[in-house]
Amino acid sequence: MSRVRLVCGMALLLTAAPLAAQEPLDNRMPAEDPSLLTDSTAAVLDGEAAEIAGQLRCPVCTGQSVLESNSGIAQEMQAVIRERLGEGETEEEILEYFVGAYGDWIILKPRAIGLNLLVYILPSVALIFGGAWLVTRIRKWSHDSPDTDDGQVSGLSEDDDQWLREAIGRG
Amino acid sequence: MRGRLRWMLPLAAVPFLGLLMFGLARNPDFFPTPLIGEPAPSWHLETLEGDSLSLAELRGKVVVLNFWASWCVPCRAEHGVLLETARTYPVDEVQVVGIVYDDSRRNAQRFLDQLGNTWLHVVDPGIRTAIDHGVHGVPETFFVDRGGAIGAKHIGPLTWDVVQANVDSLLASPPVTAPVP
Repeated sequence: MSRVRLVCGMALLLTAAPLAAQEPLDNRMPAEDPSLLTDSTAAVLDGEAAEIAGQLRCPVCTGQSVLESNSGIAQEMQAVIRERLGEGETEEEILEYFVGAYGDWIILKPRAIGLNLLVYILPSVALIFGGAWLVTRIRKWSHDSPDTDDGQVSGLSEDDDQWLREAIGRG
Repeated sequence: MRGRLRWMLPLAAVPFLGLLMFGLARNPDFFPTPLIGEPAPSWHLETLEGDSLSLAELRGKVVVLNFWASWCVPCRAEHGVLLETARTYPVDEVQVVGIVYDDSRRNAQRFLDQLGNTWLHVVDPGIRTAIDHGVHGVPETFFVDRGGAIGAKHIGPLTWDVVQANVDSLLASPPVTAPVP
């Protein structure tokens, strides 16, 4: 019972956090007269614009890209991408514009520069060292022949051996 | 081996607990902005009254740039603070400018008629200026120094303490960027 309560409490805690003061664009009341937003149904993103929108994080719906989101701000960002492509800007320049306004946060996939490099390097390093460690361990285990002559179970310290004997004895 | 496991397992949990504590203690509404110290994005927009206004015209003043909307409840809460700001600081020193975010002129005007309005408001078609500023939602407020650089940003409803601290420090310090001749 208490565990159920704990889990419920933690779930509440996690969901309550984003409900703080600021109001995202999506929670707005329907306007009585047309708002100043671009008509999003008018244009469909073409390949290149979609490619860029897919790399950008939607500011009000963390976890979704600007391409996937139907929020007003994401629709406007798509329009910005289209306009800038139309003016001849490259993908790099457009991404740079959004990073300049929102920071690196706006890029969904961390860029491989600076501290971000750790994200790309650490897994390989962990894999190489972990793999090497495993190989040496397994070699060691397979080379050590079980030594039962002196009545001690192989590979265990005296303490552990003692504990194991007691455990078996009890079982 | 068993002895080692006894302290290694809890030890392995430490980084996870640390990460969890870091994540839960963080304010999910806070986004660092790369714009502090940078020249404020320029804009040239139409006021609610239909006149033209640009940031460049306000060079030499500290500008309190407030993104708001009539449908935004926290904006209602901070409105009194903005009234106080416009009342406290002389208009030739500090200019408050509201940028209407994703709202109709009519609703914005009605909001101001109800709650009072002693400063300037511009409309931002397609929220382009808001996106230039990296705005996530409303209210967000930028404090622009006399030289046109962004001195500070506040996310969420303003308090008088926030306004006073930022405006006073911008009034006291020389502009971050040199004024354009």
